[in-house]
Amino acid sequence: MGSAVQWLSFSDVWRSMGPELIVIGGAFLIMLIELLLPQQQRKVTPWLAVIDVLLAALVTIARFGGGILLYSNADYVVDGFSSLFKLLILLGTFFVLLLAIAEQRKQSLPYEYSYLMLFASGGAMIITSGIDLVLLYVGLELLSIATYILVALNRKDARSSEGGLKYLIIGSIASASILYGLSFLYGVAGSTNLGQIAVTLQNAWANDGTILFVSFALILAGVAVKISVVPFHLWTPDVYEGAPTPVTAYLAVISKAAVIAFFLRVFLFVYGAKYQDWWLVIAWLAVLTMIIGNFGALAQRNVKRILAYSSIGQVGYLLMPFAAIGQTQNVNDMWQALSATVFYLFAYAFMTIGAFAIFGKVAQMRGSEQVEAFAGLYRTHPWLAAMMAIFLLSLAGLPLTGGFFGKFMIFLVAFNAGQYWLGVILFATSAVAFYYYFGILKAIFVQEPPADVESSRSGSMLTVLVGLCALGTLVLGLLPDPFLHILNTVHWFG
Amino acid sequence: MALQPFLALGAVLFGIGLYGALTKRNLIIVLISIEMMLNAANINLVAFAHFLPKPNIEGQVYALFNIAIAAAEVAVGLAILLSFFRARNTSDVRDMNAMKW
Repeated sequence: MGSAVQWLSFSDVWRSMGPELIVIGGAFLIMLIELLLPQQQRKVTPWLAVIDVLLAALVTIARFGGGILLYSNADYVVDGFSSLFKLLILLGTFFVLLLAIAEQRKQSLPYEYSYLMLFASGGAMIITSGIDLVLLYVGLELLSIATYILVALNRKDARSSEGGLKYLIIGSIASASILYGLSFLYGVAGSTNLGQIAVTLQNAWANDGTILFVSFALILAGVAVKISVVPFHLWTPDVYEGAPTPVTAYLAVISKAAVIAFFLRVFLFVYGAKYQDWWLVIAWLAVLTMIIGNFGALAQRNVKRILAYSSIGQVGYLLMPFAAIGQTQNVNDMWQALSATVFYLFAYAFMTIGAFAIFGKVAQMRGSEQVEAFAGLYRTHPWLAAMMAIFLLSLAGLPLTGGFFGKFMIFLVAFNAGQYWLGVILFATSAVAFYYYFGILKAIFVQEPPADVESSRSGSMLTVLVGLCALGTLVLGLLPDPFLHILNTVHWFG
Repeated sequence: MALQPFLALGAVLFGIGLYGALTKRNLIIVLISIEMMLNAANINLVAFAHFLPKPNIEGQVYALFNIAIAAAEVAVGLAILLSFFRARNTSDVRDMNAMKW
């Protein structure tokens, strides 16, 4: 918001916010259609949402690599960073919607999820493109409030509303903390535009260092809650367990990716000048998260909680490149760190959604969420068993999978920055992770299936979905070159 | 008037809100405490907008956005609380214990 008012024509708005307009406008339309359709015909609404997401992805791809566009006095930017994160968000939403459609056939999840997920994804996309404090906060809250409802959506299960309430309370405290921190940034810089704040702050550290440190701590604490970094992770297993399985996958992938984008954008723009002072904080948070996330999973028997703790551990890996950026202060290392983060997020999206999809199916077939429910899955459903093996081995980081290559890239970033100790901890905690993933694999391949289990078919929808996720995981592991080429040539920031 | 009293008021409100949200047992009081935390930020924004070396209106606009968002947040909170109350017949934080460690 500059001094002069600039009128935006519709073509400008369309060129900058096209994908967001499609997603949010589509969400309103689907909400209306869902309301007007009779009950039996409402099952088309998730398919409308799928079409909407595909349209938005097409528009994003058409814009991709088209240079950096700044709109509305540089409050909204379409650069490589935002385009990649938007593609990740849309891909994740696409898979989660397919998973929800597959789950729908057996479990009565109300159809409201179709447009609520679109609203949440719209908010997530605004976060990746906004470079104004107002936009960033509005996007963050659009994502958060829609996901609070999604978690509590299964009204037949008391755990769902309990999880929703826990998520709402913790998430709102985190949002308030972020907002309070952002208000100090505005106070010091006198502007809500991240670019202007970055310019002003270069000279402000001498006078206003204390207040900036307070704002840094408040925003970091809020973000740490939202992506479940370790001292602030205790809500994660409860909320993941209580939420319907597609929503759990949504929280684990899209919600986290969007807040990581927020984190990267705000911290690199605003606090970049003082990076050498605080990278060690990030490094220690990463270490704590990796250790406690992976060791916490060891104590669990419920597979959904194991996957929740494993997703905490994965966030630890994702924080490592941040620490590396701070140590080297080299621009090329920064691009490399961003590449590693985005690559790992894509691999993480494929393997996590796939694992949750199979978990949901098995929990429904065997009527239990414990590890024992997976006993003898290989005998009854060989396809699901083989796919689950791919996802778990990728999450653990076995070679030839996307998870391994992503971890390897993160390790290289840490290695180049001279943080060998971080690399060592990455591999040590991965070894711990192997232990609990192999517990599930042992149940699948070694144990006998229970005698009374009926051999229900896995459903064509689910078969295709896990096939696509496994394909993505393997392609990122075996043929990463085309994707790496995109990451290396992209213009990250505007 | 100077800027400092307003910032102090904001800090006190934020502190009371955080304390209430973390310690109170009644979920409605917890939601009210969260509202106080959000309003602390609004006081900061409006005070800064007025007392900046070059006063501008962005802080006030930001505060207006926040008020709308806070209303949406508390509406959703009360709706989920109602659904929790129907399932468990309680609004006490200590009864959120169906899932543990």
